[in-house]
Amino acid sequence: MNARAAASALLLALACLVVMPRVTLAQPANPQLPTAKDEQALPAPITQPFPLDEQPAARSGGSAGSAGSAGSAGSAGSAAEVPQKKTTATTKNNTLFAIKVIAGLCVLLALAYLGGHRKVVRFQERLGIGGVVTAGFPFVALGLIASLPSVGILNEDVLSRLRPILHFGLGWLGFIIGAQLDIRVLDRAPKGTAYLIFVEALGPFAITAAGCGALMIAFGQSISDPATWRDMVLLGTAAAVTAPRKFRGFANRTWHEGRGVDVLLGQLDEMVGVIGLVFITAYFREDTDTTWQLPNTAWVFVSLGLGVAIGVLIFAMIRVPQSNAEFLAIVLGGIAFASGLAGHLRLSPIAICFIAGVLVTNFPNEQRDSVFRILHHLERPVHLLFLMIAGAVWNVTDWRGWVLVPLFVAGRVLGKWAGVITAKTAVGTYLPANFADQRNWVTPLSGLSIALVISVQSLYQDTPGLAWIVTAVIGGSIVTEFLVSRTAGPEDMVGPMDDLERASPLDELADLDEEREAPDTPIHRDEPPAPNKPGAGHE
Amino acid sequence: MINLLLLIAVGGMMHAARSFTTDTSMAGTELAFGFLLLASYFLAKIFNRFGLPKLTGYIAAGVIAGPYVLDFVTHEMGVSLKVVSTTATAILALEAGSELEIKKIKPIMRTLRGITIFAVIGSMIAIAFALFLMRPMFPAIFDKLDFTQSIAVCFAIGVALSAQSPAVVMAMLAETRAEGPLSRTMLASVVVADLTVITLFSVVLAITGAVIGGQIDVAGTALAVGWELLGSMVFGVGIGMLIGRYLMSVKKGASMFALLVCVIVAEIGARMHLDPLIVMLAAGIWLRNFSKADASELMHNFQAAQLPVFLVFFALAGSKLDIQTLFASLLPVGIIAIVRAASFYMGAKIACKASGAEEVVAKYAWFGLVPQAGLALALALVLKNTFPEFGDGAAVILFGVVGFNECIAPIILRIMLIRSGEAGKKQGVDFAAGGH
Repeated sequence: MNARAAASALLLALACLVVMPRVTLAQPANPQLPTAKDEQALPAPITQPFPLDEQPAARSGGSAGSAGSAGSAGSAGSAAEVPQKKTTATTKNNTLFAIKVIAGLCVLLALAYLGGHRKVVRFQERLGIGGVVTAGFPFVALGLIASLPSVGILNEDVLSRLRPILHFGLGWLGFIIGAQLDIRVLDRAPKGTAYLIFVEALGPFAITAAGCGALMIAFGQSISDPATWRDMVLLGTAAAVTAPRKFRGFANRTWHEGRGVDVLLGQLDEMVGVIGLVFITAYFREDTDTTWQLPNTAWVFVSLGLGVAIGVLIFAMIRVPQSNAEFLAIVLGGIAFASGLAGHLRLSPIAICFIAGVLVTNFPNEQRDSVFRILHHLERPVHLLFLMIAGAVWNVTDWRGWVLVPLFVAGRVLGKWAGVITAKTAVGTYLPANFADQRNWVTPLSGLSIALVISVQSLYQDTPGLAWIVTAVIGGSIVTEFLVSRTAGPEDMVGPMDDLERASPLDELADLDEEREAPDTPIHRDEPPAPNKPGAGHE
Repeated sequence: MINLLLLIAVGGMMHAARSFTTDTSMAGTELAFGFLLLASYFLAKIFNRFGLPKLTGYIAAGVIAGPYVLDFVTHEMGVSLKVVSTTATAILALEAGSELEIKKIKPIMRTLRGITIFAVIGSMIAIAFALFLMRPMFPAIFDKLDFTQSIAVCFAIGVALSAQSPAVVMAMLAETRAEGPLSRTMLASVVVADLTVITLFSVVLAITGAVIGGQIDVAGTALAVGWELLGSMVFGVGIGMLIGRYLMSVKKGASMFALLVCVIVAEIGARMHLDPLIVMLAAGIWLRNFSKADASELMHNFQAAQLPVFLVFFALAGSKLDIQTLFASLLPVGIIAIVRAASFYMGAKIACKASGAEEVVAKYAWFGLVPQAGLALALALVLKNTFPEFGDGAAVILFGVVGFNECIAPIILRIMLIRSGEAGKKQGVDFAAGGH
């Protein structure tokens, strides 16, 4: 039932966000409604005591012939009657249009409900698609359908209005990924792990970026255009980030002894994605009218400094709240503020919030579990919203993006193979058996990869290359997950519904008061700490 | 101390970010949301240390951060966050409605009726009369109007000025965890008063238009008012049934569902010429009194997730306050605010005496009508846009009085609730008090 509720809530939220601007746009210009400028003064909805379509035309200096009020629309002078009739007709048309949009959203809601339904997901599992992206593919598809011109629900205007939510979601994702990085893990990781991660990330990065970049240049991108290089770096970065084969959600990735090596390496791998984002936002900045004139390298330090400052701030703030409601306000406010700061400075919310998340949970504090609890509650809505936006911005009609897909997948596999071989040769003797010997060449793409692409797309003006990249990454992740399902043993796969069933919607926050009384139930650990297993990663 | 340091840190970061560019189109909305949320939260904590209501802290954060003081939160940011305000109003209306238990309201019906007639309608007349006498102080409004027109305009402004704020009353009741006959009477009277003001404002607006423009469409006005009131109630009952059905059949995720319904109603309701406030009030009353579903659990859960919305709601309300204009027109605004409060006091006293209300109600209930926020500002804008002849001047008065009451009323209301002995009697989660 949780999954149903979460899916319904998410889609309702989307419906609201979509309907608002559409219905607003559908309204005729009304001289008696406050103008956009005046609307600033409205902290509450205008209680308009008369129908909009009965408003007189704009008054002209209070002439005697002008209509008196809402109710006196019929008394307007003859000059006002023609535009009034026009306005009435427009209103009727626009009302029909608004009804069409709302009806479309209801259908979307029903489809989303079906997409998240247990039976549908079970069916997906039987087909072998249960990874990070494919499990949520119905939502990607819904976003795609809603953005079709013939449907016209998630059009460009609506998507631009969704940007604040998107930025917040990106920040949330960065924060939760960072928050789960237990720095003590780095001390416990065996010697050679850093080298392993480096070469396993460098391989896919270099080969994918080079291969796809060459193809993009063949498609007409200019080699002297910085955007081409930015896109190449972005594709390489997206390819380098891997997910563990058992994906249990973003809020469930803290590695501890006893968990799979791929969880640890996947978690550390995500740092590569964050580093890539910091690099892109520092060295490929668009020319904008700003007062800060800094060299590109300085922006790297601004990113790091901002992340640290926000992290310290949130760390200090979470010690103040006395109730769950206050805690929710602080965590939401902190992430929204961090995302806003990052977006305002044209930096990536993912990177800034990642750094903040690392600091918040690695400084000694008693609020760790509460932070994770809030993050965990928001996970599914944010994740699915993401997938839907990803679907909406996905231009499937551009064939060049599809041509990039096989190259992207092949580049990843080839790069991973090269990385694994290199790592095994160079540091294999230092590492425990399952670190180097059991590495896979075909690894799922992290959900962070799609977030990276969406993040960059939201920061930069749209270019053809970015559209291709979205196709390459979404298409590539689906193909990769299909390949993973073909190459994996049954123990490697996890039924996503199991996670959905466990996920708790936001509204159950009230129950946390009771949960708080049971301190022995940390929510950020999905498995009880296991005793040391032989060769589990200890030196 | 820690709250002050954190507030300074958040403010410093905001200042630094705003110095980067004046263009707020990029991430301005989430920046403003996050900043207002944090700043109002910490300022409220500081205010609370000095015995002031947290609500005043939220509003003060908005005033300081708003476009008229530090300009951290610009006009454009405020507009982009309007959805938060509208949603908060719908949430408050749903909660207010669900607090109104007919069984408990019945015994105070006479008092409510009396307060509506003597205090609310009486204050409209008193304010209009005071404005009429003060005409020389407002040449921008009255210079071009003849005697009859002046009377009509005075009444239009008087009705708009008599508007109350269920939001502030709800927030203060929650903050002080007040429960008892006074709290019930205050909440019910402010809700009924709001409905009265909305209805009468439409009528007065039509009459004023006729006096200035020359004609009146009685049928059109009646239809418009009828649709807004009755249509909203019917729609609200439908919403209440929907939420009730969800509560009974789905259960999980009910508060999220209700929250999203509030968003939809707030945004779409107004466009359908329905009043979101009445819609959600009706929904809440239905849930509380007629639905088989257990709405109390929903409301309890609701409170856990609503604090962020309310922090931003009241901070945004504060950010609209032009503190300089308020100071410039302090004398006339102060006089009108005092007349308004005095007429509420007198009216409520008469009503309570006539209805034999409890002593605590007779002593303090009138002050529940004093706070103002969104509705009065909205009516000011309607006046401003409908009547260019005097709308600008009227808006200055309205904004001034609302600002005055925003600053003063929550503090006095809190004191009165504490003195009444009803503060702290309500159990459970509250969004403003920060405790249980």
